[in-house]
Amino acid sequence: MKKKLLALIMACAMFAVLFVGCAEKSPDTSAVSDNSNNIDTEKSLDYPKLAITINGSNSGSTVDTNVRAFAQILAKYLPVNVIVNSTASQVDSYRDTINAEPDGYTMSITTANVTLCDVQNITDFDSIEDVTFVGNIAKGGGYWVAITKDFSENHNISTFNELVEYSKSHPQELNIATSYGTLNEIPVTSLIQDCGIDATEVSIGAAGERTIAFIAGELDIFVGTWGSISQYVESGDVICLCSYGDERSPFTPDIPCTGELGYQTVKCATYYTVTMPKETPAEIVAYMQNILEETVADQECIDTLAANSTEAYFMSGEETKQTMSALKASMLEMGLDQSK
Amino acid sequence: MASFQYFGASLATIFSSPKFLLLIFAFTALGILLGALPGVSVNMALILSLPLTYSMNSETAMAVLISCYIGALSGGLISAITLNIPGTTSSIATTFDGSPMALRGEAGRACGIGILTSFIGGCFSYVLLMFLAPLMGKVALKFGGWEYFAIGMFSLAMIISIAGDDVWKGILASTFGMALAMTGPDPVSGIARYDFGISALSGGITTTALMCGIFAVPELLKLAANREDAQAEDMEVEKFKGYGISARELLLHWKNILRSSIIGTYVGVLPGVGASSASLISYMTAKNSSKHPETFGKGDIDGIIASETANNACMGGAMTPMLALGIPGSGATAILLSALTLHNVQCGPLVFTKNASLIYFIFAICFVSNLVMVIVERVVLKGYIKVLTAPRRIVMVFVMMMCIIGAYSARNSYTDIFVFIIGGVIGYAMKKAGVPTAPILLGYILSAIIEKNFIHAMQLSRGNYMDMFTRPIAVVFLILAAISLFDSIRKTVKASKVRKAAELSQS
Repeated sequence: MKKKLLALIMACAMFAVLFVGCAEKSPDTSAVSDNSNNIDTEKSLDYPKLAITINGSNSGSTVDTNVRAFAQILAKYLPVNVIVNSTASQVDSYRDTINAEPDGYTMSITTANVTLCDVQNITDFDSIEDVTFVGNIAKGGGYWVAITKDFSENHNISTFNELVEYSKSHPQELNIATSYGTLNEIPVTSLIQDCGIDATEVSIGAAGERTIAFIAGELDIFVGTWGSISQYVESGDVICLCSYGDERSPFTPDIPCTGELGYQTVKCATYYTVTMPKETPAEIVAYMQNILEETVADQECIDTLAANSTEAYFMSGEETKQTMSALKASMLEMGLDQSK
Repeated sequence: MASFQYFGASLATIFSSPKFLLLIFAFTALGILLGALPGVSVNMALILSLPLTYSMNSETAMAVLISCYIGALSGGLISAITLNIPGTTSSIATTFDGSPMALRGEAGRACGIGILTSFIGGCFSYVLLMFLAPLMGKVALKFGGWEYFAIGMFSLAMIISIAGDDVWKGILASTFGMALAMTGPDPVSGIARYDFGISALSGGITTTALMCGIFAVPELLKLAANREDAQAEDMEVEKFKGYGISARELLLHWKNILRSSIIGTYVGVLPGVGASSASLISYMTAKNSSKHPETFGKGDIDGIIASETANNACMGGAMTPMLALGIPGSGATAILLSALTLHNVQCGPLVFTKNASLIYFIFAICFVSNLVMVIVERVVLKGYIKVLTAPRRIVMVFVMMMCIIGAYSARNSYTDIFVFIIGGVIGYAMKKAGVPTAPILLGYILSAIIEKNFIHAMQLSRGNYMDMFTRPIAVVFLILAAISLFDSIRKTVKASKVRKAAELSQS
């Protein structure tokens, strides 16, 4: 009798968990923005009624962190729950969205990493044509070029131009890290092709591994985010030579950029694009675009993303598509589609 | 001594604040519950807690996440011992002796010892973390591609010896596990390997699905195959007091506890190696150092002590590169690091000066959570043990459900459920053939460390293998790996000769 009772309790617990998991938040119209266009659209569309799922990236990554933080704020502007899915990679996230129902309840927030994977034939989809772009919500902080203090002293290098000259006089001696299929590859390839750095590319996976290999002295040239090296620059262990790009970064206004030093650069900002399945109705896309624009303008969103060296930056769906198409074209022009 | 002042102030803040005490208690308990559930990994437990912290200040956020982490890390031992299904990958080695102890009615004692030694291992590593974090961080910098490759090979050699007297079965199982790890993107070119045209496999196989499949499904199939055996239905559980071990008896194992704490902390400092490797290395070291190594794998408490002490000591070690270098040492610390970054705390060499009060608050949270863990886990243990007295066929259905949910929720893919089922069938077949299944999962985990770091090292040395032998740390680990493998082969040959001699004398 006791065992039957225990079995019954366990069965009830199982069903309770199932019901809770399937439960939806009751619509809270006070949280919805007061935009009359939205209300009209909502009334005619009958959307959204269910929780919206955002496919992000692998848990613990910068992209995943930003997506989760953004989703929290986005939920204030929607009358439904927002659920963030961590996936194995941004490519998986994109694919899940492509294969989802075009009902407006599934979307991805990913970066141009997916476009790069598309260029390098790692994906089984077209990153531009197989989705509908809803908009862009943020722009990553960019890339910086740095060397260690020991390297600087040993080789008497204190500027980017001196590093370029040294690498040319010692071809393929220096080690620079990259990872196939990551956005880091764009500035690294550009530094080699456009700036003339003659170094050996070493494939090291995650940003953290690249940083540790650099600090340990295995890599001579670091190309990565400011957050990875800021403390080391401040402590004097690392010397930041320049930021990569046409303009100085707002995060490091005192550090020159490759553009002002006279080198050609490629646009490689880490745009955070929002995509939905290709056949998603235009009215739903328009509604979500308006919501994204309001969320990006929210001061909490601006501050939260800035804490992770990311700038809140809105673009419409059409602008986003044009930007990503241009980026894809420049990746092809750089020859990033060549297998290594 | 400013550090003591900060630490003291942090402890005073925690103990005088009902909010912090309640949060630590609640999230440690939640972590234990999630860690004990097969299919819910430590990372998943943290991901579930992470969104709650966005609106909190940095101290409260750290209290929530660290408590959850410590609870989940330790909670894995409960299902490892009671169900022979590790709740987390770091508890795989705990199943080797925990399950045999549970089968002879000592599940409570085994869990109690595991909880106590988890506490001791954790405290040891937090003390080292507090006083030596910057120094320990420098140790991590001494390890490059060849060193990690050598550690991976050493761990692989140790896994093979788990097979006992038949090293070939160990090699078969671990090689199979390594082959499974090859599914997914190539670490250099990114091209999908062995996906058989299935797009869901292009991202690889998830650890949770494989772990649950290999450990849980064979248990269910075994139960189904032995339906007529009523004794297989119910598990007897002897009563036990306290943690199932007296202070005097615990002190007799002080060498094992100290050694395992050091191994766990040291391995934890190395980013990417992981608590599963730490507990395995500690287990095998304890076995090789024991006067009675033949008792390992048959319910020797030294096995549980070695595994659980090391995997909890690993946490303090893993937080060292996170805090001192700003580099996450594991998936869980990557989540902790992202939470810190969102709260405007940049980790790195200056964090101990710029954010000293928060950092020592984190240390204080670690100690208090560890204390709460050892108390709460002992209390909930009674409830878990009671579940064991229910008919196993009912318990296993619930366990299967949790495993399927866990396998699916890793990346919301139905393919992972198929991996769970197929992995389980293969695991059952291998068990029937007398091939141990733990090496499959451990080979799978180590494959990434070995392959990735080998490629990294070869690129840095421009394709020159001999560069490996100029690195003293790598050479030491490779020699240890060779010794371990040679010893395993020698035991296999010896056991084979003994078997043949016995057969001859019988005939």
